Amino acid sequence: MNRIAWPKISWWPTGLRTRFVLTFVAVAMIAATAASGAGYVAARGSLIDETQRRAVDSVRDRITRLAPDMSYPPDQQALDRLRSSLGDDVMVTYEELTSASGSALGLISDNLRTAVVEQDRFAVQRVVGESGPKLVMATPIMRTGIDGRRSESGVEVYVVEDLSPAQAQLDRWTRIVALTIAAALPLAIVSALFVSRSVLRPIRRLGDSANQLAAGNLSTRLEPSGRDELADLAHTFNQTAAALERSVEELRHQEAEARRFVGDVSHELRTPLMALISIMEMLEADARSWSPEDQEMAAMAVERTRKLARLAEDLLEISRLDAGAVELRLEEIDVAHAVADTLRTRGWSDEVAFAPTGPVLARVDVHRLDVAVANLVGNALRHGDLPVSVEVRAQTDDVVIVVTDHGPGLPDTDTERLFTRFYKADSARTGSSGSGLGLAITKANAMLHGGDVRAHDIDHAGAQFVLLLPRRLNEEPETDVHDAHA
Amino acid sequence: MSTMRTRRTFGHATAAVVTAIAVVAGGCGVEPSDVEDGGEAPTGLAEGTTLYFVDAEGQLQPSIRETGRLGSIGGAVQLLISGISRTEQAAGLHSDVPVVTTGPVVEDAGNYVTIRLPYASAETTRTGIDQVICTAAAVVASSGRPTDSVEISVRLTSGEDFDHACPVVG
Repeated sequence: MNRIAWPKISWWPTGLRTRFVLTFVAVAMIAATAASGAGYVAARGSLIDETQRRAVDSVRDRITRLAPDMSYPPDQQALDRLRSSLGDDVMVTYEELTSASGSALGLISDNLRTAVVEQDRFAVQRVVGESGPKLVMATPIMRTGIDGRRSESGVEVYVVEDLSPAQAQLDRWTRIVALTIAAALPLAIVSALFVSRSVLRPIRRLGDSANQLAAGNLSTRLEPSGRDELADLAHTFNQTAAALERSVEELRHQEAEARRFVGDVSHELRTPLMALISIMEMLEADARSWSPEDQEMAAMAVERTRKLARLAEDLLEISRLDAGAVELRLEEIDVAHAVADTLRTRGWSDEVAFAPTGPVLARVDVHRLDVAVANLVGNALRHGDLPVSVEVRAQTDDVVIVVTDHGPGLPDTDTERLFTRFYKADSARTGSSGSGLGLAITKANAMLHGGDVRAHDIDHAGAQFVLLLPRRLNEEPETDVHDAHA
Repeated sequence: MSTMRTRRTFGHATAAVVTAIAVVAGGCGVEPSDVEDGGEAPTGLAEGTTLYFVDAEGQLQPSIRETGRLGSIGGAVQLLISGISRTEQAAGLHSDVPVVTTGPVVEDAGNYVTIRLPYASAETTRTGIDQVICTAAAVVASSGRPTDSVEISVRLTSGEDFDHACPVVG
């Protein structure tokens, strides 16, 4: 059988549902986290930009309002006035003069000072110190001529503004994002379970139906729902099951036809053969006055005719067994006695050694037992050598009938093949008087009883056939056993 | 191979999730930055106020009055109404603006500046009106406001309105 080798991953759960749910939840969580994260980053960017722009505009507006009233060149007093008008953490410089207040002025970086001097424009920098995030703004105050030209005034203003409100806002957003992601988890799990049910239910149904099909219920069909791949699969399954059912039905029909034909043929042959045997026997009786050659020919003709009749008989028997037309008529009997009867009616009492040790009771079909034992003993007489011995004994719940000969033993190591139809150990021995069906009939009768027959070689003798039949002593006598024949 | 690929994919996914969660839950709020540009620097410092007078040819000429600060439009117009200084007269300038003791009323509403002068049209000339308008325009320009978007109008007690642009500034 050609199986696909799946990779073995020890940590990966084997259940389809678990795998499905895990994957679904993982994808959902990645999506939720990515979306929330991207939204957060974008919102943070615009919040910081907006905060920064508003702070810069506010400082610029205030300086623009205050500057026309500020004396120039400024003295210390003028610088102090501007500084106190602008807020707490402010530094104003003009050449050698400096007016500063507030504790956060240490955050003003050299880069920022350089930028202010070099570019004559507003410069800002976000700095995170021990007291939280701050926005450091720095700008020169320009002089503008009546023609609109700008020139340096030498006055520089540094303002440090606290960004804690923005930080607090961001922290609130962070909590909201984390809560959103946490809330998405149970939602994702519930959705995954829901979706996995709708996907896995048809798969489970398909599996159940396949099992039923395997168990022999060929009429199993699925009801495809929807138009997806699973519905296609269900449709394919139904087609397969229908095709299988058709083929099996056809085969059964053909087999029944063949069996009926065999039965019909053997039945039709029996009557003319019986008439032929009677005629042959009359001829044989008349043959005493004939020449020895003619007598021999007549005897041979009788013998062959009898064999033909036996073959037709056996074929009829086996076709009845095949058709299941045979019903067991169980009755409680002494099996040892029945076996003795079989030997006596066949005229084998002299050739076959049978010493019953006592009655062995069993509920069996007398006729079936007779056929089975007669075939075993007949086989031993034909193919083995004398002495042939028969033994009947009880063995727990079975009755065991053992037929032993002293011939060359079994011709084949595969003893099961002995019980196939028309099995010939030696194709040259066509002259043997057996039909080739005897052991097969024995086997069928044994199975009909719920028993079996086996063969093996034994030391210091030839072949041994063992027929096992259940005794059924505890069963109700009224119960008819209808064993379906295989 | 398939096992390896599955593991690697799983590893990538895990890394992505862990990074995303770390970014979000780590509370990376305000981060330090480089120096960024914050736009135009403010302006408005000046050593004095620019007043406009008339020279011998009748042309308007700027003259800086050393007040130590730029001052407001109202302050500048007030200085103009207060009369010409000796230094300015020595430079050959005169003023067509009548000297009055009452101050002007200036409404500065951003883009609209209205100057109410305390005299009638008979007391001044067209050049005198231009002196007021140009002095006001010089203050607007020096304080960093765009002169072409600020409309200056002058109203006299006799009721006339003048809202033409200064012929020399802006």
